[in-house]
Amino acid sequence: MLRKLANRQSSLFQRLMFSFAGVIIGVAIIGLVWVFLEAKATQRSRTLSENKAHTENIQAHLSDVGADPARMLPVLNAIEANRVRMFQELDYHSRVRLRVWLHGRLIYNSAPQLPDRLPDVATRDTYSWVRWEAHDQRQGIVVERSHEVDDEWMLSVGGVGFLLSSTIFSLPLLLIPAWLIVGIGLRPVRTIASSIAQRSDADLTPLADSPYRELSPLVVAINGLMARLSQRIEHEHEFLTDAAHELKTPLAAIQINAHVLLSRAGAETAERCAVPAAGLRSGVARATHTVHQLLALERARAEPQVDHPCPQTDVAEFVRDRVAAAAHLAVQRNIEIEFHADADGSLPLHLESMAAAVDNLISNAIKYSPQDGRIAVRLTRAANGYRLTIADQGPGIATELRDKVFERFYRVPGQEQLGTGLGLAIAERGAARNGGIILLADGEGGRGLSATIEFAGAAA
Amino acid sequence: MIEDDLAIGQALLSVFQDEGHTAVWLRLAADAEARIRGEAFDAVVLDLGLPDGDGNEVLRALRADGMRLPVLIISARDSLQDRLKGFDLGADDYLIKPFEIPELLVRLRAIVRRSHGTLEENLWTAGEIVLDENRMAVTRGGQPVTLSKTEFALLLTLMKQANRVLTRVELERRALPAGEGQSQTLDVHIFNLRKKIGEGVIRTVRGVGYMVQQDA
Repeated sequence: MLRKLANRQSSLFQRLMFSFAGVIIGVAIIGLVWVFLEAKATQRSRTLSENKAHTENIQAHLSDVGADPARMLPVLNAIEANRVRMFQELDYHSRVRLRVWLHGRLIYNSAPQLPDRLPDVATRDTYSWVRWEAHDQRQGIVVERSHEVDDEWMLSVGGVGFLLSSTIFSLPLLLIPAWLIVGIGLRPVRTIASSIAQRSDADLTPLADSPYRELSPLVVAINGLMARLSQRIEHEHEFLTDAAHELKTPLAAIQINAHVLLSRAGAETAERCAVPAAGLRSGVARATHTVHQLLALERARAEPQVDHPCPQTDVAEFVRDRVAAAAHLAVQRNIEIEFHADADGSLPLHLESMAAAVDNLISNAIKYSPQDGRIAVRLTRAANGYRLTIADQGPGIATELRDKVFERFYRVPGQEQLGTGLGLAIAERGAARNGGIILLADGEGGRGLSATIEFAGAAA
Repeated sequence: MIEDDLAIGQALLSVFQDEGHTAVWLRLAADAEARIRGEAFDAVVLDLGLPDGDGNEVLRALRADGMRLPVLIISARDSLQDRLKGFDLGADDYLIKPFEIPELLVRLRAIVRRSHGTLEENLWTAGEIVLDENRMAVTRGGQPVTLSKTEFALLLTLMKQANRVLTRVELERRALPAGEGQSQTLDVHIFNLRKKIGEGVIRTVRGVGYMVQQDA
C-alpha cells in the first residue's frame, strides 16, 4: 500500500536519497571552491619564491663573470637552456621570461616575442604572470624573471573533473549504503502499514506499540482512531438492537389485539374475514421473524466475552440436537432429513451463534426443498476442524449469486418463499464467530444447494 | 398479570376474560408483591421490564417468601442468558414477545396443571393411537395394544413431546432401563413398537432420532 502511494505521490525515500546526494554534492562544490582559491594563492606565492631564488641565483652567476656582456650571455643562455630542459622533463607548459639589464641597457631577453608589460591578473586570452626583479647596485645588473601562473586549468573541464573525481567516484559508494540504511530505517513503517492492511474490517483491536520512539505517536494516533471507531460502531449496533427490541412490544400488542378481534368476531364475520385475518397473521409473523433475525444477527456478531467462555462441545451431538430441533418441519412436509456423523470429537463452540448458523442453513434447506425431497446433513473432519455439509434438492442458487446471498436483506429474485434475507448473513457471522466460513456449492448430483460450514472452533 | 405496556395489558386482559378467567392487571412491581400475597391466584403472568423495577426481582421476592404459585414470564428479552436467569429464579415458563395467544394459553394451562399435581388429563393422542398414562394403556383405533414396559415408556416419551424429534441419546436416557445403553437395543424396541402400533406413527430421522407426529 505504501509502495503504491509512493508511486503516485512524492516519496519519502526519494526525498531522503535526493537530500543525501545533494548534501554530498554541495560539500564537494564548497571543497572545490576552497581548493581553487587556496591553490591560486599558494601557487602565486610559490611562483614568487621561485622567481626570487632564480633571480638571486642568476645574480650570483653574473657577479662571477663581472659586468661583461660578452661573457654574461653564454651563462644566461646556459641557465635558460637548463630551465627549458627541466620544464620539458617535468612536462611544465607555463612560460617563463628572463630579462637582464646592465646599467639600464637590456642585454638579454629570453622571450622577445612577448610584450614589455605582462598582465598581473589573468584576462580572457592570457594567464596572469608573477614578476620579480633582483638588483645588484654595485655592478649595475638588474635581473627580471616573469613566470606565467597557470591556475586556470582548475576551471577547465579537466581540472574540475580531476578535483571532483574523488567525490564522483565515491558517490555510489556512499549512496548504496545510504539506500540500504534508509530502506532498513523505513521498514518499521512498512511493518505497521502491512499489519493494518492485513486486518479484517471487523478487527479494530489496538495495534501493538512500536518499539521506536518516532513511530509511537503514529501507532497511538491510529489506535485512538480505532478506539473511537469501534465505540461508534458499538453505539450503532446498540441502536439497532434497541430498535429491534422496541419493535417487539408493539408487535406483541398487534398480535394479541388481532387475536382478540378475530376470536370475538361472529361466525359469519369470521368467514368473510378469513383472508385478511390470515394476511394479518402472516404479516405480524413476518415482522416478528425479521425482528428476531435482526437480533440473532447482532448476537452472532457479539465479541468473545471473558465471563462467558465457550464450552468444549461434542460437535456431532451438537449438530444432532440442531437437526432434531428442526426436523419436525421437514417431516411435516414429508422431506427426508438425515444426519451422518463421520467424525466425532469436541471443540470450543460459542453455542448461541453456532446454533444460529446451523439452524439457518437447515431451515433454508427445509424451506427450499421440494415436497418428498431429501436433505443430507453430513459432518466430516476437515484439515483444521470440522466440515458440516447440508445438501438439499431445492432450486439451488446460481453461481453468480452465491456471494451476493450473504448480503443482508438480499433475496434471490423471483422466489415465493417468505423470508427476511438475513438467514445467510446470520449463518456467516455465526460461523465466523466459531472460526469458520460458509461455502455454497451445487448439491449432490449437481442438483439443489450444498451449504458447507468449515469451522475450527471459537477463539477463547 | 403484571405488565406495564398499556396496549398489551389491555389486550391480554381481554384475552383472559374471553377465555373465562378472572384476571387482575397490575402495572407496577411494587403493587405486585402485596397483591399476590394477599389473594389466591392460580398463576402469574410476569413482564420483566417494569417502570419501577425488574420483574426478575418480583419473582425473586416471591420465591424467597416461599410462594409456589406458577409464574410465566413474558418478555422481549430473548437472549439465552435472560431466559436461563428467569428459570434460575424460579419461573415455570418463559415466553418471548411477540407470541401467539394460543401458545400463551396452552403454556399457562400446562404450568397451572403441573402446579396442582393432578392426574386429570393424562391422555396423549397421535392419529388413531391413544395413550392413557394413568392406566398405562394404549389403544389403536379403539383396539387395545399390549406393550412391554420399555415400549410403553418409549411411546410415552415420544408422545409427550409429539412433533419434536428426540435424539437417540435422549430416548435412551429417558425411556430405556439403566444398563441398556446400546443403540441396537433402542432400534429393537422401536422395531417391536412399530409392529404393534403400525408403521406410520413413529417417524425416523436417520442419524438423529425418532419422532411421533401428532396429526399423522
